[in-house]
Amino acid sequence: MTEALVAASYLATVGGVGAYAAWLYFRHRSLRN
Amino acid sequence: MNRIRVLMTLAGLALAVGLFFALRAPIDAFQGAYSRIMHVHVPTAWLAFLAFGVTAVGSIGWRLRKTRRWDRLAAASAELGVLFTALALITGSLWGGGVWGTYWDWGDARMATTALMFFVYVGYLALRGASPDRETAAARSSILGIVAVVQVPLVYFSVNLFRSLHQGQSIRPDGATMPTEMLVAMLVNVAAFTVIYIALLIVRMSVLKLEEQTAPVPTAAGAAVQPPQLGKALDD
Repeated sequence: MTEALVAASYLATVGGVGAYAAWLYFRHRSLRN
Repeated sequence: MNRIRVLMTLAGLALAVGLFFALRAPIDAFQGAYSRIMHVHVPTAWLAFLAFGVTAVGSIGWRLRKTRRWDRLAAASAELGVLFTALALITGSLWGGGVWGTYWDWGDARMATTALMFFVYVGYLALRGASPDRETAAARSSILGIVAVVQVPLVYFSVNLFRSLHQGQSIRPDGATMPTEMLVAMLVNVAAFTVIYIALLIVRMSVLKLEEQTAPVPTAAGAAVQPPQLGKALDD
């Protein structure tokens, strides 16, 4: 349970920031082309 | 390598360094491994405060100068603030579920005010999207951006103003309530997440500028409808 909650918090943070950064990167690339 | 790739690489490296320190930090004797959640919860909460503060600065800048750059700063920072507030709520809830035995408590001042702040800034983004043109959106949202920032000190000091479930500040002027190794890991993560915020803020502002250059200026509903030209020949 402890490991699952810690892993979920890290996955949410890395996933959230990573997904937003990826969206920004591809949005920027599509607007430039 | 272009500027966007440099910024994204910098953000990725900052995240990797932060996670390295977070996972190597000693765990708390009482909380156990749950204390590791603090190394992502505290930086995301800090960035929520910083982002909404920058939104207020951008809003004030727009009201004084009326230039697009200030409005883009406010809009980009508000979007990042919503993202980091959501992450702070999620990670805080997961920590609470393990340590307090409850994932959420509306009676807790810190949780309730943070949730309120989240919804107010979601409303800020909705207000921007609902406005008919960029200048109207900037004019309306700048007022909300300036007024809504009062929530930042309210959320921060809520643990002192109302005694409830959430603990008080861990880093105070008279010292920190944690060992140096844990404090260093937390401060490294605060610095790393701040680098991520700055990198994403610059990229988001760049995307907003490109959107303004490529997308046509939105017009009010019905503006495209032309009145009939009476008296003009049908085959003209």
